Order: sequence, then C-alpha cells, then structure tokens
Amino acid sequence: MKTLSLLLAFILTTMTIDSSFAESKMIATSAVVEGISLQHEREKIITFMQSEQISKQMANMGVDTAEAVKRVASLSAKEIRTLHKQIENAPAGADGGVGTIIGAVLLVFIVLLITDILGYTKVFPFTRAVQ
Amino acid sequence: MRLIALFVLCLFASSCSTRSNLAKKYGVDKKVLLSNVPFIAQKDFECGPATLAMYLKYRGRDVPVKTLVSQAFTPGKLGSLQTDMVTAVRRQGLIPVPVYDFKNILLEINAANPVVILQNLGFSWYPKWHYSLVIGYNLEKSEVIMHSGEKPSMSMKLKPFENTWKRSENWGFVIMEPGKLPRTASELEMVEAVASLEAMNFIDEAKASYLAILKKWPASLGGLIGLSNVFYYKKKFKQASSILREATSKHPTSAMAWHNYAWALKATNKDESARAAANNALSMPDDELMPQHRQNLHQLLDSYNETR
Repeated sequence: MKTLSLLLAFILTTMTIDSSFAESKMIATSAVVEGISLQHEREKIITFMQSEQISKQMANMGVDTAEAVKRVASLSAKEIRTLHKQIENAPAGADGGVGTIIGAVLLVFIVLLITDILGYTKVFPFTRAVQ
Repeated sequence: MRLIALFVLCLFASSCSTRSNLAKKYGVDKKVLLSNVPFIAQKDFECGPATLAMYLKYRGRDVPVKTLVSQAFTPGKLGSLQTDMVTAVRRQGLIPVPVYDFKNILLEINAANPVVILQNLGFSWYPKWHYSLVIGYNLEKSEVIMHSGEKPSMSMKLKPFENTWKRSENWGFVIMEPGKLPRTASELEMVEAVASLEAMNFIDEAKASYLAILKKWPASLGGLIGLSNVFYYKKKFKQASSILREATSKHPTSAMAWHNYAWALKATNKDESARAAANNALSMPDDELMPQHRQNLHQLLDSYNETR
C-alpha cells in the first residue's frame, strides 16, 4: 500500500512536470517553424509574380499585379503550399523561380494557375478559387 | 551512319565530362569511401530497419534490427513507411535531416555523413521500393557506393542511381547527433528537424542542437524561439525571457516572438514589460497568430486590468 501510494505520488508529480509546458501559453517551436516557412513561401510567390515576365503576362490577361499580390496575402496555408510547389517544380524554375527564363507554354500554365487560384480565371478543374 | 555515330559519341563525351567536372564544381573530392560504416545484411523485406541499424551503429548506438523492425516495419505492406523511418531515428534521440539533391549527397559524404535514400528499383507501374545507405562515390568512374540489401559497398552507376532515386522524388536523409549540423541543411530545415525532436521531449538533445544552429546562424528566429522554449520547459524563465528579448530585437515584426516573450516575462513577474510585449504581439500587421493565441494574449492583458 505504501509503495502504491509512493508510486502514485511519483506519477502525479511527473505528470504535473510534463503538463507544465502544455499548460503554458508558449507557442511550440514546431508551430513557429511552420509559420516562418509559410511566410517564406508567401514572399517567394509574391517576388515571382512581380518578376517582369510574369507580371507582363498577367497584364496581358488583364490582371493587375498589385491586386493579385494583395490576394496572395489572403491565401490559406494549403493554397500557399500548392502554389509554391508548382512554382518550385517548374522545370526552369530554379531557386525561388525569380528571374529565370521559363518556356512560353509553361509560363502561360503557371500564370493561369495563379490567376485560377486567385479567382480571376477558371481554367483548371482542380483549382478552387479563394473566396 | 557516320554522322549518327559522331553524334552519339558527342553525347557520351559531354555526359562524361559533366561528371568529372562535378568534383570541381561542388568543391568535393573526386572519390570518397566511408569505409568505417558497418554493414548489416537485410533479411526478407527489412531493408529499412537494416539501413537504420547500420547508420545508428555508425553513430555509436547499438540498436538491434529487431527493435527497429518493431518501430519501422509494417508487416501488411512488407516494408517500411518513410515516416516510420524518420520517427524511429527520433526515438533514439537522434536527428534525421532531409537530403534531396545529388549535389548534397556528395557534400554530406565529404563531411563523413552517410545518406539514407529511398529508391524505386522497378517502375512506377511495378514499384520495387528499396532503402539503401550511400557511403561513398567515385566520380571518375561515375559510381555511387552503397550498403544495399545483402551487398556491402555495392557500386551503382550514376545514371541508374539518379533514375531510381528520382522515382522517390529524391527522398533521403542524414542522421545527426544532437549538437551536430549536417553540411547542407538550410537554417529552416535544421530548426524544423530539431523542433520535431523537442516535441518528443528530447529536451537536452534539442537544446544542444539549437545552440549549434545559433552558432551557425546567430539571428535564426526558429533557433532562438526553440532555445527559449527549452529553457521555459526547464522552468528557467529568466533565461527564456532574455533569449526572447534577443529574438524580438532581431525580429521586431515577429508576432510569435513577441507573444512568447510576453508569457516568459509574465512568468518572471515583469508585469509592465509583459503587457507591452503582449500589445506588440497583437499589433503586428502580419497575421501569424492563431485565434487561440490572440485570445490568450487578451486574457493576459485583462488579468492585469482586473488587478489594478
């Protein structure tokens, strides 16, 4: 009985130590990292959209880059990830996809993808415009 | 016909020359073999656990394959899931860090860090997934050297290596001791890797690695917040808040840094400063705080208003 109560006391103390962090209001490092990487991706998308090649193409389609950039700010985490991945995976995309030369067909594809997600166009069945 | 032959020759020559140029281009040795990486032959479908066991032994951890099978093998799939491979490493208190580029494999091998890779030795429509451990390369012979399956120090030509690795979207990782950094990981990748270890309550291990991160990247926001969280967890609130003060001065627009700073200050009873930090956190233009965090900060501010 004594050992049992000792054991219980031990478990209870360790439990309180363990939960002290969970109870604290600190934001966990992993959540912070997620926030930081999302911010990076958002910035990369914006730089990409402001590059001469892309903004010119968007202007041709009647899309105002400044307004499009504003809409990027309101994309959800998931949409940012999707868009960022598309840009990164573009064959000529290279690091950050800024200032690289992209094939004409691919360029149109990416621009349409961006404008689709931002709700200017509806070309691809798999995109869902941001409300 | 002659023309075609010439053309083929050109192609061949150009591909060869790019290979031997790699060493110069990336600043690595032409050939390296980490001959002190132990080999453990796999049984049946257990290439994942065997690969891990070799690497862990190289890092001085004698973990039986049997243990790793129970942690990283899924009998129903006759194989190991990528996520299980990574978590099995963390369960040893070590840090898996992604490597997804051939150049980075060369650089890591030069830094004496073997690289676990996932290959599809079959085709996309007939997959034959396989984990191996890259322990060396020879660019003069265009070869990669691996402990693979039942074959120690097996050579594979670069071409099939790259093709089979590409089918896993170049999935791979190195395993690092706490406090040690791989050569190629970016700051964010490294913080992410350590944060996952911290989340598993390997607090001292995480601390050593955050310190290493801050030594290499002194302004790392993730590193500073990670280290402060470690101190907070250990109830060393003073240290936590002094590191967060540094974080907020180096990253004055980070709402998350201000948020945590507010709570650390509160824990040290610095009420005035805690209020100021909370207000800063709430006034940041970038909306990085979750609704829950905002609500908590409002509660913190309210609690001070009530006591007045």
